[in-house]
Amino acid sequence: MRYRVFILLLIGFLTACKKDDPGMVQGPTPYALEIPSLFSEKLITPVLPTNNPLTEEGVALGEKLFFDKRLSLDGNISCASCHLPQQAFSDRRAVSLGIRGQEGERNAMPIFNLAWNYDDRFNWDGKALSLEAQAFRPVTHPKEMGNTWVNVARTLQEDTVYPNLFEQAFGTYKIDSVVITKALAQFERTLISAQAPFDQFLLGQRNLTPRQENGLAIFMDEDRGDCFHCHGSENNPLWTDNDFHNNGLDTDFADLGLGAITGDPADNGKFRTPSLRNLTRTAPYMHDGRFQTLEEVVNHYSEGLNPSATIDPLMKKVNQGGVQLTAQDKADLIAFLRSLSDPNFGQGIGPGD
Amino acid sequence: MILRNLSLFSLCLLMACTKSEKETTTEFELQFTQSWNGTPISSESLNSFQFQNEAGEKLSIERLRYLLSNIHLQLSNGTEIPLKAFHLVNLQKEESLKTNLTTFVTSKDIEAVSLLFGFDNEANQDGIYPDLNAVSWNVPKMLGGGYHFMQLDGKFENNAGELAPYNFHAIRAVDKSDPENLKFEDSFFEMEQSIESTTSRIRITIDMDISEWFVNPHLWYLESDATSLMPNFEAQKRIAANGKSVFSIQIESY
Ligand code: HEC
Ligand code: HEC
Repeated sequence: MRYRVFILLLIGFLTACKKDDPGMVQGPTPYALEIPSLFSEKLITPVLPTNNPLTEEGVALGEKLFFDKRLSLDGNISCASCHLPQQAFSDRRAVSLGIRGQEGERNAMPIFNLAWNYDDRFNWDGKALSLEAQAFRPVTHPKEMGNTWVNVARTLQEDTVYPNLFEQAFGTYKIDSVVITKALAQFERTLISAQAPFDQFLLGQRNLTPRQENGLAIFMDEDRGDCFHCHGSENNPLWTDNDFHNNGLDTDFADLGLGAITGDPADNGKFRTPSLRNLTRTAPYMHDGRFQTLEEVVNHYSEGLNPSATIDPLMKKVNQGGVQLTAQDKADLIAFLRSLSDPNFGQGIGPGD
Repeated sequence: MILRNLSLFSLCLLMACTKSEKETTTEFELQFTQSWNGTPISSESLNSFQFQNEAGEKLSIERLRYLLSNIHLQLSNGTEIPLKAFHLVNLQKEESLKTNLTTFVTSKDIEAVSLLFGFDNEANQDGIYPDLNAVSWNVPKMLGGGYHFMQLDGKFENNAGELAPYNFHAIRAVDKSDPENLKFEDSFFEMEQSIESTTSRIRITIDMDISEWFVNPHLWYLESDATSLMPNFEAQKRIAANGKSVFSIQIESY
């Protein structure tokens, strides 16, 4: 008898640990994030905050919101107006156009692989401390969407479908900035780019051309390009260190970048290293979109560096203007950089898909 | 009978979950400190030209990261107990300057702690550590792959009176004069410190005197060797030789 009780107790214990049974209220369906094998093999796990787990319903809602112009005051601008799927979620302008055609201050950043930004610092200057926090900015920014959260929440609350979608994703009909930014962040975390020709090369599915091969060697060679110290390698397939550097664009800074956030003059002119994936679709380049082409970018590193107190020491030939690549090496380096662009990324995302 | 065994079994399980007795574990606090000629430095010391090397060159430090590995204890019975496989120190990351570890040995059985600067050749395999890949700590395949041992970057005042960058990077020394047939020379090195303690908490402080990288046995002139040191076989060997007097280890019981 005693033993029977004991066993019953044990069974009770065990079942208590099992997942809720079908009779209980169902929450949203967990979203199975497909992590590319190159990432799972080479990198640590992505940043997925426990207070905003990915769910099917949350991601779908985030996608809908991302393309919804009603997030802006005049109903003309959505997130996707500056972050176009066909441009790897950036745009073609040096600085984007926000509400009433106003120009912003910086180049719109592409959006992919952001769950692997481990330090969780977003924007060119690292000001936003999570994707959720980042999404707060554009909606109320006077030069971007120019809206108020009260107004956005009211607009969506009056919609016929949104309240239900929020209920399904977050268990609440009440729409506010918190659940809106959570949904947007969930959607953004699912934007993964890892299908470039160079990835296929790493997976043994194709060869590099001799020019791409030489370009990779220049990229990795401390005596020539020396790009890998900041922009990653086949072992860091994000192609960025997500850290902040001054890569020698200016001697005097119109935009202090990280320095304006930390208040430390030693950070002036430092910006977050962008990924080199999808460059064929993210022109123009740099935080202010000053370079139209990859040729201009490579010329900058080769002979256009500008000295300053905060220029990164890895810009080691600054006193000679740069790393002095030959015309052939420049062309090959660009051929390699292009192989990091994924022709299909962004397809099938957005309204109607 | 079966039931009795089962309950005995679960009793054992429960016991296994309770804390083991205090005397059988030793807690370690590993601290990684940095100094210049005996003066402690911190992330606050970065970026200003407050240092002068033995050759008389004024320099700043903008970035310092280094790898220690195979941190383990030597016991009086001759066995070795691993404490941590590797640890990356980054002067700008507070959390990397300290780590706490616990072992299931009593401190009186511990004779010494030893560790490596860098990775030995067995550990230094290309691309196998996701946390090191994630912080771009890799060495290009054309130099044998694997990982950096140290990145010390900054600027110095050169003979022309200009500020010039330096990248004092340490890796496994490689002679790549024949790219098809790389020749290596070991540049990791071991350090060891004896431990005499009977308390259950021990603090191990591993200090790097950065100034020592530039002297003893080789007086270092950044003027002639400041950048592109990774593919420079001779430079790597000299860095490794100078490294042997860089570290000092202190043991405190508390
Ligand atoms: C008017 C153009 C514009 C609109 C509209 C806009 N963005 Fe952006 N976005 C930018 C610019 C410009 C930056 C860079 C900001 C900076 O560094 O200060 C940026 C940066 C970002 C980043 C940071 C990426 C990174 O790698 O750090 C994310 C994420 C992002 N936007 C998401 C959104 C979302 C979500 C919305 C809609 C709620 C949105 N954006 C609306 C222009 C825009
Ligand atoms: C010291 C770190 C560092 C090194 C080394 C470095 N970069 Fe960069 N790179 C950056 C940073 C930081 C930016 C963004 C700067 C800004 O906008 O202010 C950048 C921007 C770029 C961009 C523009 C991307 C975009 O979307 O706007 C390209 C392309 C690029 N780098 C290629 C290279 C190449 C090729 C090399 C080697 C010749 C190289 N980089 C070396 C840090 C570095």
